[in-house]
Amino acid sequence: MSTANELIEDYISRLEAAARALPADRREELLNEITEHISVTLAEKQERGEATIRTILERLGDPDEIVREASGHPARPTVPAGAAGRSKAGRLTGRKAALAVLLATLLALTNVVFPLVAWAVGAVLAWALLRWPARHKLLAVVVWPLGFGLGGWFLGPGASESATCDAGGRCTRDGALPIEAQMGLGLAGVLLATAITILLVHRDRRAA
Amino acid sequence: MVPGDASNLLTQMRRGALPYCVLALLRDRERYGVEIVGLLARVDGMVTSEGTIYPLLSRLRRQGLVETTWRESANGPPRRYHALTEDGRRALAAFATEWTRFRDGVEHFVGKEAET
Repeated sequence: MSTANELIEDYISRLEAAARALPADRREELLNEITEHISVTLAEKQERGEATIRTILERLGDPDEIVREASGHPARPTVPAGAAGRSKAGRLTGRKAALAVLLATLLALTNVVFPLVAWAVGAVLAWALLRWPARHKLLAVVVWPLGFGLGGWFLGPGASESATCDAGGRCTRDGALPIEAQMGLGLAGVLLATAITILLVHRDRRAA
Repeated sequence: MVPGDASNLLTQMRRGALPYCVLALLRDRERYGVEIVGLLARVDGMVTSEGTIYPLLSRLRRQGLVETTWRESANGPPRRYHALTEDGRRALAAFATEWTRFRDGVEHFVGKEAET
């Protein structure tokens, strides 16, 4: 008997704690209604055994979920498919996704200095942080280093180093490609990578 | 489409339709909370946690679709009975018409009976 009452008290106090976020009148209303539900159900069953009470409380459900419904933010109906069932904090918000993109981009740019290490770190981070479908992640992980990394290299150090100028001011190119082609390739790479990134982030937002 | 989209969509559809199921339960007579919860829970897949019906009932009350009256009971504590208001009746009728159209439309394409 006392265990039975303790079960109810424990449930109500968990609900009270969860309901702290609600405005006072809503909180009181919710607590009254759940308490009524328990006492009316018990009266109808005419049985106050521990098992009966456990069943009633189990069927009422998680206090947090009830409060979420009451606060007008029911159990995240907009959680995108892939993230449902994973941890609640699993999905990144748009802002965090943008941060991850920036991070990965920066890492991709450092390809010039530590090519493979930077790529690997960027890829792992992107994979862990982004809640995107695997094929989108793959695209990002390939496109960022290739587009931003190689593109950046052609535009930056690659372009300047590939030409050597003699004392007379005449420059000869070491690279196989003319400087204009290198700049063009670099620009195209960066633009393409940017476009694909925007597309991926946009799709991510829409999926949310 | 990403796998899992369908179950997420169905969750949202269920959530969206649930208030109208509550209104429909009140179409012919007033009912108290435990009664409403029991009738919903009896149908497979409608409610996973019964406690969430109470915030839903509060919302319907605030929206003026449902009104409540206390009644004594021979059996245990007094109960809060819910009844449809005129607005509630109108909302239910409007949904019922659209729902039938929508259901028939989807069934036409998705249902097993659909002809090719």
